[in-house]
Amino acid sequence: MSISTVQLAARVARRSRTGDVTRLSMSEQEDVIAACNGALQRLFNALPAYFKEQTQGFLLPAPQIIQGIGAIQYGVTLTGIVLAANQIGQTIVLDGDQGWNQIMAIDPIAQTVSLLNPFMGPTGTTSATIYGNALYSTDYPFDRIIGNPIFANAALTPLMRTDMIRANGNDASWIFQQSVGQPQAWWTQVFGESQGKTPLVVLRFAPAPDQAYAVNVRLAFWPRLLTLTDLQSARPVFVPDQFIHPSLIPMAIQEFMQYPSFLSRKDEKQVDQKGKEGEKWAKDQLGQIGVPNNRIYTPVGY
Amino acid sequence: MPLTLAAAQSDLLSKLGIEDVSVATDLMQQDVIIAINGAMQTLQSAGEDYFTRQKLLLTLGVGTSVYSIAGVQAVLGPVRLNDSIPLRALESRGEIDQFDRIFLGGTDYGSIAGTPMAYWVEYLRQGSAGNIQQVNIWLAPPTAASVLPATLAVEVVDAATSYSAADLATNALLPISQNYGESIFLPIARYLITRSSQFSRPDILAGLTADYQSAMQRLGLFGGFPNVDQSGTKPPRKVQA
Repeated sequence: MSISTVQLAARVARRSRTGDVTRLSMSEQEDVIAACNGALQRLFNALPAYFKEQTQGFLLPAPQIIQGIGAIQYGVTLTGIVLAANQIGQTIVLDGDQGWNQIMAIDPIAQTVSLLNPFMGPTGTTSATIYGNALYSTDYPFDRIIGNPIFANAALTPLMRTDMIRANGNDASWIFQQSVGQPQAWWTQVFGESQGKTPLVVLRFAPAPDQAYAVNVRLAFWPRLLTLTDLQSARPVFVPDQFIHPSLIPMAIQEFMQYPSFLSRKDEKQVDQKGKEGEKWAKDQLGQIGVPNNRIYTPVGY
Repeated sequence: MPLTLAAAQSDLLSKLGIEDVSVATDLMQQDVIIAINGAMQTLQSAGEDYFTRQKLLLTLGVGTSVYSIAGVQAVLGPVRLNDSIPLRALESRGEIDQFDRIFLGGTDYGSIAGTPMAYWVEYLRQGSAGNIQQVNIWLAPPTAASVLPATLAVEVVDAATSYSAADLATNALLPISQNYGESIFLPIARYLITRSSQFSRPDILAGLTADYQSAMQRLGLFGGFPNVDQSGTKPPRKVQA
C-alpha cells in the first residue's frame, strides 16, 4: 500500500490557489508535480541506504556474429544493422579492420550504428563479431555502482575495478580491451551526456566475455520522475509508507512554496519548518535493517 | 410560481403609469423589452450561483481538436470526458500548440491523437452583425478512434435570453430561478424602465433607485462573477435574515 500520484498531488494542491487539484490548470498541475519530484529526490537522498539500493542481475552475452553489414571506408556509421539498446558500449570487431571498435549509438529505425573509430577496411558489405563486454540498461541507472560487480552464484570470483583503464586511449587499455576470456576487471565509461549523447554511462568489462556470464551489480537508484501522465493514470509513488506523511507530504508542500500556484497563508515559516523536520526524520532513521534500537552495547560496526 | 413575461411587463408598465397593458404604446413596449433584457443580462452575467450553470454535451469525432459551441456566454468548467473524467484547463493557445512538447516530453507541435487530457477555451469575434461571439473548445490530444464513442460534458453559462416585443404576447415564463425574481430581477428591471422617455414619476424614482442598489448588492453578496473572481477565494455569503 502506497500513495498514488494523484493522491499525493491532491494533498499538496490543498495549498494551491484553489485548494483542489482538479481545479488547477495543466501548468499549475505541473507546479504540483514538480514540487512532488523535488521532495521525492530529497527524500531518497535522506532515506536509509536499504531503501535505495538493490542488487540486480545482468547478462554479459556471448560473442555474436552478424553478417551483411554495410560499411564505408573511414566512415563511422554502419548500415543495415539492427541492435538492441543494451548493446551500446560493446566492442564490435569488423572483418577487414584489424582494430577493435566500439558501438557508440544505435538507431533501430534507420538501422544504423555509430562507431567510436572510423572503419579502416574497404567499403562494402562486411560481417562483424560483437563482444558483450559492456552493460547498459534502459531500466536501471548505472550512475552509482556500489562495490564491485560479481559473477552470479560465484561470489568468490569478483570482478575488480580498474581505474587504470577506465577510459579509452590509456596506455594499458589494450591489454584488456583486445583480449577474450573470462572478464576480470570492470570500469565505467561516460558518454558525454551533457553534450546530448545517451546513455549517460555504461559499465565495461575486460577481457571481453568468451561466453555468456551472469553478473550481479549493486545499484543505488533515484526515484523515477513523476509526470502528468502518472497523474492521469494514478500511478503509485513508491515510497515506504512510514515516510509518506511525516516526510514526503511536508517536503512536497515546502517545495511547492516556490511555485506561482502556491497560495500564501502567511505561514511559510511553519511550512518550511515542517519540510525540514520531515527531511530530518528520514535522515534519522537507522542506517541498516537489523540495527538494534538501543544504542548502548551496540556492537561495533552498526 | 416563477415570474411570467406578462407579469414583468405589467409591473414595468405600471411604473410608467400604465395600468392597462392594452393601452401601452409601441414605444413603451419597446422600453419594457429593453428593461427586461437588460435585467436578464445583468443576472446572467452574475455567475453560477444564480442557476446559470448549465451542462452541454458534445459528441467527439475522430481527430477533431476544436469544437464550436453556440449561444454560450462563458465556459465555466469543469470539462469532462464521458461525463466522468475531468480534463485539465490550459492557459493559452501556445500550450495547445505545444502540448506534446510542454506536457508530454515530445518533440512534435500540437498533439498526437489519443485520449483527451486537457482543454482550452477560445473566445473569438465572428462576423460583424448580430451575435458576434464564438466560443471554441480545443482538446488535447484530439480523440483517437479507439476512444470513441465519447462525449464531452461542458459546464457553461448560456447567453442571456433576448426578447422582442412580439414575445410579450406569449406569456412565457422568464428563465429565472424564482428565488431571484422579485428580489433581484424586478428591482433591476424597474430601475431600467425609469430610463424610458415615458417615465414621469419622480416621486417613486428614489425608491426604485434604492431597490436597485439593494438588488445589485444582493447580487454581489449571493454570488460572484466567475470571470472576475477565479482565485477560489470567493467572498463569504453574508445572507442576512
